[in-house]
Amino acid sequence: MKGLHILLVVAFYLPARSQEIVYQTFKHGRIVTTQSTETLKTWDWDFYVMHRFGDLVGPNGGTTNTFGLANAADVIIGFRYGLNDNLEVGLSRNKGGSPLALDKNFNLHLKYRMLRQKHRGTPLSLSVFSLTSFSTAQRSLNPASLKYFAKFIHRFTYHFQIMAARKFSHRFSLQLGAGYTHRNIAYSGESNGIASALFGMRLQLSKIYGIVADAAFPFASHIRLFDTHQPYLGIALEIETGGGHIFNISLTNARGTIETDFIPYTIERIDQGEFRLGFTLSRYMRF
Amino acid sequence: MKWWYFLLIALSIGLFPTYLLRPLSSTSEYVAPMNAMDPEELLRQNVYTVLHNLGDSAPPHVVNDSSATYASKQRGRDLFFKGMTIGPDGSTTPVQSKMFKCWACHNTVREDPDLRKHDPEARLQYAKEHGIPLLPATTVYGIVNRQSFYNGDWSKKYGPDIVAKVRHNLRQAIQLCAIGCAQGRPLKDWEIESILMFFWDLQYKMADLDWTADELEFVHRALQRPHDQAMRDSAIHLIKSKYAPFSPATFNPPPADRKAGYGLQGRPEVGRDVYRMSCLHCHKNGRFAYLYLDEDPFSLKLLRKHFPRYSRYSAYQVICWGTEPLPGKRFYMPQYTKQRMSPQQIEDLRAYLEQQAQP
Ligand code: HEC
Ligand code: HEC
Repeated sequence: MKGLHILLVVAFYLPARSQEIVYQTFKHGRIVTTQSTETLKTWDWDFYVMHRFGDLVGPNGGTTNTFGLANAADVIIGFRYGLNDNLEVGLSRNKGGSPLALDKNFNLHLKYRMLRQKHRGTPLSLSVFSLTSFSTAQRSLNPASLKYFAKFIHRFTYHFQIMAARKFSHRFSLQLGAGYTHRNIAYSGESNGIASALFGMRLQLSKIYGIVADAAFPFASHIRLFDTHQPYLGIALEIETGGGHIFNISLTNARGTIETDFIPYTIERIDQGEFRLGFTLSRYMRF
Repeated sequence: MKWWYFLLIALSIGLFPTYLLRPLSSTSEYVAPMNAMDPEELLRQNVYTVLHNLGDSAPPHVVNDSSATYASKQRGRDLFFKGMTIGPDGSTTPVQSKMFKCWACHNTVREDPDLRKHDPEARLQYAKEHGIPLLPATTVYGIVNRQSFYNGDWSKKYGPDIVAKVRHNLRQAIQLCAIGCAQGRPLKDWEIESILMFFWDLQYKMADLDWTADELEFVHRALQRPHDQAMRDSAIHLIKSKYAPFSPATFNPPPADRKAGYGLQGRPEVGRDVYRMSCLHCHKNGRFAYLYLDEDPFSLKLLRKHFPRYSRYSAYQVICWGTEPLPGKRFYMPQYTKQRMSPQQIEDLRAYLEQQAQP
């Protein structure tokens, strides 16, 4: 009888247990600025605001500019919604960060989690993400500007990304990704498409505090004109303030908050003080 | 006309009487002739059926065909476990609540070894043996055998006017809970009726009660004497003394001095059971809450640190008073009454957290 019981436990309970999903590889759909593999749970809404201030130090920062707090490099306001546990859709509006990028954008994204990490099962989570950004900027009279908008379609920019993440322990998660950004209009001499490599990680310090960091490296051969371009780098202190609120305070070099901005158009150099404070405010809700 | 056409007509005429003979109301399901039963068989009967045979009056929450045409216990079960079912138009109903399912807070099986008592200590032992969670609300097993609802201090939470409406009306109690506890949309009449039918499926059986051979024999004899109403009344009385007719509720204030606690010696091993069987039921993987809790050191440390504080993560605070929902919109944590978690068990939980979170 006892033997049978043990057999039953081994046959049914253990595999069921081992198939347990690993949750909270990251706490938010964004690591600092780049996307994480996380999607919302069914019916969850996430309302978020991300802010990037002006340069912290250097000629445009320092005491005269209250360390950048007087300037807003970019602001994004948006929401996301979980259609099911693995598919989310989001809509946002951002000011536009880099002076080179299209601005006043409406952005629509879809994220689908194809694989979920399981205890003693699937070793990692895999998600795909797509973003369409539509610029509502006023037409420029300068034909050299991206905002000359010779064609309506030039207002659209796209980004596609695939990423894999693993939560190694309750302390540490790591993510790798590959992205492809397509611009319908690019500066002359640049190609429209840009491939990029993405990295992200989370180091949890306690239930509430964690450090998150991410980076995006555009492949330089695609960007000829601006050889001054820089990889995007970000680090943040993430705070779960309870009741479904995530807050982070970040340092990033990029001014922009969306992939179609900070991947092709980051030109800020950390060694020249061109990095900035920022924060993300996020609030989960269910109606 | 084809020959099989005649056959069909003949068959329908032939089968018509069986249609007339179908049970006219679903209550008839609970009424069976009992005078010829042996005690063994008696134990397999529903308590309500026996009471009914002894001449006890039917409670107002009996279901019958006239109360709603579309109801069924399967739909009630769906609503309870999944929050949705198939509606009269053949499509899926909107989910009752996006926050909770009824089973977040209510068990559907027996949870007290002695049905007369609401002893959290005995329940913990029983629940552990049977692998069921320890939840803030009472089980719906045997709920149709209760006569009053939202008892005791619940009137402080929901207000005396609202509670007066539901106190002796199980249908209204279901509706109040769907809106007030589960934070969802109001149930339609047929949905309430369906849940009620599902609850009738979970009524007490005679075997659930604690009988001596003599007592059972007494009930048995009373059933065989249709004219001895005095004997039948005492049999009814005897049966009803075997289970509590309602679940009492006393709010349990946090200790005045949270550092000192309730002044009871906590038992860490019991505290671990409390943590696993109650807190993790909702908080593990954020199943019914935003706060993810597990047995990792971060979760345990957070709770240990805040236990004696006046903060949102204080277990004294959330166990004793729950958390507040934004009206109709948000997850909230229901409070535990004294009958659902004793001060001793709260101290046990604290002792467990303190033991586990030693640096
Ligand atoms: C968030 C927790 C929660 C959820 C979800 C919930 N309930 Fe309740 N329910 C309670 C609490 C607390 C009480 C108070 C009385 C008690 O302890 O049973 C209660 C009481 C009741 C009662 C009266 C019981 C009595 O004896 O007083 C009924 C009936 C009931 N609920 C039905 C339901 C149904 C049906 C659903 C699903 C639609 C549901 N509940 C979902 C917490 C909940
Ligand atoms: C019926 C489900 C349920 C049970 C059981 C439960 N909780 Fe909760 N708890 C919730 C919900 C829902 C919330 C509010 C949403 C949130 O913040 O997660 C909450 C909130 C909390 C909070 C406050 C979180 C905050 O951010 O303000 C703490 C602390 C907490 N619970 C601890 C516990 C402990 C300890 C136990 C075990 C005794 C427990 N819970 C049992 C559902 C439950």
